[in-house]
Amino acid sequence: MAADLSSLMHGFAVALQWHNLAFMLLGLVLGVIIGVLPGLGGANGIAILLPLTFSMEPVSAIIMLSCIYWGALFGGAITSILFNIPGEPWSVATTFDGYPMARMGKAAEALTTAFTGSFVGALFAIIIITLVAPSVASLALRFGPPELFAVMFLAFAAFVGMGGGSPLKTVAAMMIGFVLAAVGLDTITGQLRLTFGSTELIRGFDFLVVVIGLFGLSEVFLSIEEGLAFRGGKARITLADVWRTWKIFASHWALALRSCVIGSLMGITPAGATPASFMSYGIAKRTSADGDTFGKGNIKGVIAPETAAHAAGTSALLPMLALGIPGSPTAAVLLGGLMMWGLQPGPMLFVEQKDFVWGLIASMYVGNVVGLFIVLACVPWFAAILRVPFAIIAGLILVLCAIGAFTVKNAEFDIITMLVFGIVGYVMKKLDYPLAPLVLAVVLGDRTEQAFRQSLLLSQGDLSIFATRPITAGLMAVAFAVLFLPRVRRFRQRTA
Amino acid sequence: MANDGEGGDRAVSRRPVEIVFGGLTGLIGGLAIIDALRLGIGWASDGPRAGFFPFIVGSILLAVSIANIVIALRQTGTFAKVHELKMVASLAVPATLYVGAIPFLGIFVPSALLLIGFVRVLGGYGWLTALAIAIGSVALVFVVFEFWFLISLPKGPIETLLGF
Repeated sequence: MAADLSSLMHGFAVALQWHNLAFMLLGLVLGVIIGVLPGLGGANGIAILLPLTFSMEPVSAIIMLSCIYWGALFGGAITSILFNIPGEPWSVATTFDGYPMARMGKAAEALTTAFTGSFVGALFAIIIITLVAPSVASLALRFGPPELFAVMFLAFAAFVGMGGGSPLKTVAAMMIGFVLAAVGLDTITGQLRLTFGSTELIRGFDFLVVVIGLFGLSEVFLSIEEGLAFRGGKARITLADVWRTWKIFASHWALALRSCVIGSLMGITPAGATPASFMSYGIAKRTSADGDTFGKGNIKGVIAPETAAHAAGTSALLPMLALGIPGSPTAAVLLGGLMMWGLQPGPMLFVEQKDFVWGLIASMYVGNVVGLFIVLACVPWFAAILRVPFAIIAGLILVLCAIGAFTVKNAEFDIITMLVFGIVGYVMKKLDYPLAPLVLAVVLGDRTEQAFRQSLLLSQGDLSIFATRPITAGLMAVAFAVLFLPRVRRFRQRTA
Repeated sequence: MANDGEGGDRAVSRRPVEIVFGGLTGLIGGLAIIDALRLGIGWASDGPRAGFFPFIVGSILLAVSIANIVIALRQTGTFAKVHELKMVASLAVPATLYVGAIPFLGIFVPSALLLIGFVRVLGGYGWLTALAIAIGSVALVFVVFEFWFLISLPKGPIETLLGF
């Protein structure tokens, strides 16, 4: 613990270097803009900007990109409250009470509450990461292929069991991801798989291109479908607003704390931020004496989902850092960044790349504090972005997506792939297929397969290897419980 | 998400789209199985063959797709209204032309044309505004990528003519 503390202090020394602070500011401002614009969420925005960081020092690059993420999380709240447009799926629950508050003329209060909630949630999750991640990583250092496969199996089982929506569609999306990941050169035997004679497919599908299409372009299609008449209030936050709101917020500390816990726990599983925000909102509504005023502009209806969503969004980085397994699509993109900068994701990071890991963790503390002040001070300007006509924004986003897709591997074919995934993503969203499992399967497909094959190699093809090693068996048991228990309960409720 | 055809608008119903999409995912599963069989799904001297994992994944995908199609047969509701799909097409068609033009013209000229089209037609602005936004944005992209970050973007005959 003491060693971790000194590592963290060293991390602050890295994060507070002036050039890293500059990247932090740049990332935060870009992030809020990305979060405000429809079609440019955290995952997609980072994916587009990732190639620009190739020549940067890894620690500066991850600081900038993770700050884009914090910025995007803050930015999502602005559009939810002022325009009733959730920038990200986990901001949906924020619109329930945030938008009514804005219509009642309490926009400043709602925004301050949302930002503060985000900040508190993120801070709680960062403290958890600081305390827990090193131990998880040191435990994971002893993992062999069977344990690794069990962790990934658990991650994917959590999607099916806890993701909500149709489990069959979740499985379908996930399997498409695994098939896409298998396309190209097989890393173990060197054989070409699923290329069907095409030279373009030998490279395989890069998940960044998939992310840009699925999360970027498809979002633009959905936005334009809705016609895009942005109607919303203006907002300015004064210092008096902030003090008044902080006093109200402080009186709801128990609610905030509970939301933090819900968010952090759910964020570690890949089901993540969206169910966390809904669950936190639902529990707050049920347990509040004034539960019937939820949905009509109750401040608690802003605190609960925002705090939980950001705790979840932040704690999603814990498995990414400690195990090399991302807890959300955005964390997956950051993981892709690690590989591009030549770092091997996983528990060895805590041993070999101390500067990188602790610099990142320290920058999370600093970034969220700085981010809070930026959004509080600059809300009017950020909200003004949405008054730029969508025809201009849509065109620019399309161009950015094309450039982003191309620069991943300097391949023009990837621009076509990106367009196809944009259209597929639009259809999938309309049909309620979840996109996150697909992306995570593309990211983790090769490593899941490798872990699976190496495990079977260890056991000479005997599947019981997943049941006889204690850690593996425990993880697999949890995974199957997560996979089937929600179904059993639902079945019981229906038959009872 | 899709509502049940309010306001008497013409709409595309959800069932056929569900079935076609389920068919496509099933097709992907089928392709994975076929190629896995070619690679071999059994055991080699150095562990499972290359087709082993794709075979499992493809089989699950095929099975789930069939289940999704069966469920979709009883599905009601709307996929999207026709006017909504027209809006989407007004974006998707130029986007396709844009992507198709990049291999021939590079990325800068098609980007400028796309922006001019969007600002002029979808946004309803004058030529001057459209030109200013398009040329300004493309010039910014050029400076940021080609000069600051030294990332070479696709170029066509016009850039070659200008000496890049």
